[in-house]
Amino acid sequence: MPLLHVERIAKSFGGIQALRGCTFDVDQGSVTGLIGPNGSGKTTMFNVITGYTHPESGLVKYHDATIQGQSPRTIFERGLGRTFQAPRIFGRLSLVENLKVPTRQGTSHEPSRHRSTEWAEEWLAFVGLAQHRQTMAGALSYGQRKLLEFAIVLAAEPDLVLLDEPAGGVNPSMIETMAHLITETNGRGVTFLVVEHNMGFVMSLCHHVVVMHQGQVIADGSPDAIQSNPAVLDAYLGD
Amino acid sequence: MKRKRVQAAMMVAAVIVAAVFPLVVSNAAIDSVAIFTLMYVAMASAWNILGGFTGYVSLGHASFFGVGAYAFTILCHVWHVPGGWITFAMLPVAGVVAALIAIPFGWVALRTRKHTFVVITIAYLFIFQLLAYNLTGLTNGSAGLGSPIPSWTGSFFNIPFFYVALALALIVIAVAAWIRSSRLGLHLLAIRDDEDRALGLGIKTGRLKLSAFVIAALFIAMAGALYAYYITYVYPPFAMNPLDDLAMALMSFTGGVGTIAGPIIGALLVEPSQQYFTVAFQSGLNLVTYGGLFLVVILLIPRGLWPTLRDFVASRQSRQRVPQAPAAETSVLSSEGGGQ
Repeated sequence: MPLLHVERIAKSFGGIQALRGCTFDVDQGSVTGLIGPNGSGKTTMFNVITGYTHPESGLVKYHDATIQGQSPRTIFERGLGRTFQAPRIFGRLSLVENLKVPTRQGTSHEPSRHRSTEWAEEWLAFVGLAQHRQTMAGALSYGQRKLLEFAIVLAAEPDLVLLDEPAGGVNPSMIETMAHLITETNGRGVTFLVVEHNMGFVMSLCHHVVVMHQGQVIADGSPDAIQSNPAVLDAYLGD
Repeated sequence: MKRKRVQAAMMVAAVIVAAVFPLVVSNAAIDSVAIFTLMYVAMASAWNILGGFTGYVSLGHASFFGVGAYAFTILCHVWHVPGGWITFAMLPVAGVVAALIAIPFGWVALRTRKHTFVVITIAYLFIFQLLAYNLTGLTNGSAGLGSPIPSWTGSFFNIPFFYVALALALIVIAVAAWIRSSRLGLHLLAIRDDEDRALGLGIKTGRLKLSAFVIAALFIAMAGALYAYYITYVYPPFAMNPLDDLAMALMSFTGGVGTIAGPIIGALLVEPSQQYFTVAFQSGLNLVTYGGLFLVVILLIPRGLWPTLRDFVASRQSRQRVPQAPAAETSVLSSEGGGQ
């Protein structure tokens, strides 16, 4: 049984049909890539899964429970976290304070250690930001903000994390760091669904790839199979 | 740690100075200014729990000042509470009445954000003022209501009010400091920075914002009740005064909105200046100073005096430490080149 099951999701904005009946699965313990040209509906799909946008029709199942239409808070409490294309951190809080913000209150998933400074510092050390622990997050560089946001989401110990362009807008060294962090966290049992344009990053990291084009899923398979899929090549290279 | 010790020492010194102030200064007019200043310290600090911590700038919380003043006066009449020491016990009662009234109003207003929220809170002020004028059976309308007359007179008259105002100010400051250092405060500050992101990280934003709204209303109402007892009269335009809203916001922004020290510093600077301009110059000049000071703060020190001064001192100290600093960082981040 997949950890996340998306079935026939449709969403439109005015006259634009952003998602047209998308269906795919994310297996527990996997790193799954969600790729596609600009405007194919990847971020809208993320927003639907995480409750920031409600679909017009279709089904999203997480841990076999239906979650579409629920609030972002409820979905996060269930153990489904996400990052954003442009990192959204709390700029006027210190890094340690940022790490203490996420909460899964009211569930059995928030042990008291989540609230401790030691816990926050462990995660900052994990992403290499320990020396900036008391710095205001707004003073960080773009790449550092991506790392901080990654740590913020992971600090709540989610089962599934949706990463929106983790390698976007950062230098090659930081891309390597990010890939290493994802691999290591995945080894600890966290499942990832990754939207990314950097094909080298996706193909080397992901166990499974879903391809979207014009609001539809056009291919779904292993990285090798996806790279030789004519529909995918056509979508990326065009006529 | 050293900075916290300095701040604590400054706070203790300020409390000692405040505690002996009416014993040293026996001028009734100056003591009266001091009482109003302490009331504004309490009100601005309470306003800052909502406006500073969550970023929801309310220009309607003066309505709860009025609700507190009326609740105090009406309940004293209904329960036949005479003027005296026991009457001060009615302050928290008036605060609770206003807090209960604030719940539905906060629930509605907090469904909006930013400018819309500001406009709705302004509307609240005028709704409450109209109610005070028109619910004549309850408020006696434009004629106003007399509050209990204190049982003490003469040169001692101001002393009890001074110490109650001081106690109220210290309680509000302590509550604000506790909130700031608690998980509640952290979540309020997260809401201020990015409310949608905070929601997506599991924070019950609606409930927390409402808590801040109601806590602010409770303490501002207690100040209103103290005001009603001090001037022994409550009257709609004074009880629900738009200038009180401007004053609370201006004091917080002047000192440093979102900080604990900011509203205190702002109130200590603005209120005595206001009183001085009102007495020394022609009527209306005090309003010009409000506007002028607001412009100066927003244009020159948008973060307020306290954070600007604190950062100035910190940057001077770090410049002095530069020769001892390591030459370069060696973490994984040192190779990160992405700018902001």
